[in-house]
Amino acid sequence: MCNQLTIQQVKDMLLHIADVLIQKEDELGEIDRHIGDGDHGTGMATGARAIQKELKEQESTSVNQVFRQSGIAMMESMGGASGVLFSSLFLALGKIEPEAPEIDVASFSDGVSQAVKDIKIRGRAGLGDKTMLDALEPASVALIENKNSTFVEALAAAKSAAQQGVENTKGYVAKFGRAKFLGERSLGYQDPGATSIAMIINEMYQFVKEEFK
Amino acid sequence: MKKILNQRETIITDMLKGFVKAEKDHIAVSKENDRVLYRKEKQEGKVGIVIGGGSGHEPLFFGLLGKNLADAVAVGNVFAAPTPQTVLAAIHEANQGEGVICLFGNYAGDVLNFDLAKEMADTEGIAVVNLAVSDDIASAPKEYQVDRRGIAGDLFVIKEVAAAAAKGYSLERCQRIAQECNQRTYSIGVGIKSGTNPLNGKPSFILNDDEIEYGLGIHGEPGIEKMPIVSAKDLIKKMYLALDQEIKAYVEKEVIVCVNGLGSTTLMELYIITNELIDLLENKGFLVMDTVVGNFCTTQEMAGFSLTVQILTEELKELYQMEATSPHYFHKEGY
Repeated sequence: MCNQLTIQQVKDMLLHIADVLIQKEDELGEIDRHIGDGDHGTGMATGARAIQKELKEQESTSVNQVFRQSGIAMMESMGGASGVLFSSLFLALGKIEPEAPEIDVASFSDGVSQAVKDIKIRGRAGLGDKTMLDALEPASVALIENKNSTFVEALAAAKSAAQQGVENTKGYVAKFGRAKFLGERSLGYQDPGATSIAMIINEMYQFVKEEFK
Repeated sequence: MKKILNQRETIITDMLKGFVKAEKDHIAVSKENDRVLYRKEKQEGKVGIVIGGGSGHEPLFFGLLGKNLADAVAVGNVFAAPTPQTVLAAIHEANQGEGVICLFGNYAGDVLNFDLAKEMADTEGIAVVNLAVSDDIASAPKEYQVDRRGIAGDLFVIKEVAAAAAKGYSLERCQRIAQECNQRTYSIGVGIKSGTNPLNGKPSFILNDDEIEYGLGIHGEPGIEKMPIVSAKDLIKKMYLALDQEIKAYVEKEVIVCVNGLGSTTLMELYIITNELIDLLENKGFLVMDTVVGNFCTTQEMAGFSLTVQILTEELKELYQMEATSPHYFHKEGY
């Protein structure tokens, strides 16, 4: 069955993402150093370790709960803007109705588009402001367009859209976060938050590709 | 990186434990959240003062827990705002039933986390006012004063708002004073050499030996421009001219001044800077009521400094003159 992810699969997928975020700590930090203070990788790795601890130690009775546990673990461990904003992605996926032991592409896509809405309200940013939204919103659009496809097809489209979104941020002047104080000096550099989003979605894709091959 | 640490996972807890041991008679760790410290002695019937932000800027923020200063502090990870749960626990420690005012630097992360904590406190029936300090004139033009980031100006805002709370003023009055304090506080900074983030051992920016970063923030974010290093006189003149654009229109001419070191700039240099700044202010007709020189808001071992000028009103002056005592800052009239 290629169109649903079980509790265990969602857990394994998030643990896989956490592993990669920890491995990529230095790479993300390097990207952040150009336009921020260079600690984005450290923040994401802190959140990733908290997710690992939570998911390995706690039972989950629905996929929603796995996402909520991950979101809360990030929010309680990371701090900073990314703590609130990245946890919003998982908390929105945790809010999908009804609570269920599996998730299909349509519900997953709805969860991600809810996350885009939540992050816009919370962070008061929009497309083109050189933030994580520049990767997440196009990915969300790609997911909705593919909501009747398989997870592999939908996430492949989302991954490409997110990567293109990261490329696009090089041409934007930062309007939010610490990079906004750089103005024109932020041009030419990709946004670290958007990079992390693209990384997360790419690893979701890699995971389902392996899982359903 | 050459720093005296244990493992990086425990940097913040090791530091907080040491601070609490050193200040054991006066400061304790919250039972609700170990990233929250509070002042043991409670003054009843006053507005609570919560301060907080990322770590790495010591003595800000916890060094300002004290008499007629802050009641509780929310401590974040290195250069990262505290979580909403941490801020909420600090609000609980500071709350005496008269409401709580939270003071923090104006950064996206701090605003997001303090706003979430305020929403959580609202549902518990605790009245909370958030004020993001925005004193760094290099970070946004005058028309966007509320968008500016918060640097060493935190010190004067915390000092005066905490004095207002200690005098028993209402939450509304403290809020008005906080806004006024913040509007009248202007800073600008210069970086000479980067500090090192203790988590990853890397400098936040690279400068050549003959270069300085003009207008940088306190997280090592790059500033407005890199420029060649010049004499103290020429540099302070350039910085003063930027400050003068902000302060020249005020009718009030009485000011307080802070010359803040960013970590490894010597007191020798800070007093050379002070000498130039006070001359420039006095030549422009300002009356310097008081000057504070030292390391209050740092970025690890970054070399550099910031200048802060606050234009006083009669009310702010009275608040500034109130005695205040804490581990890393005090104010006493006469010595």
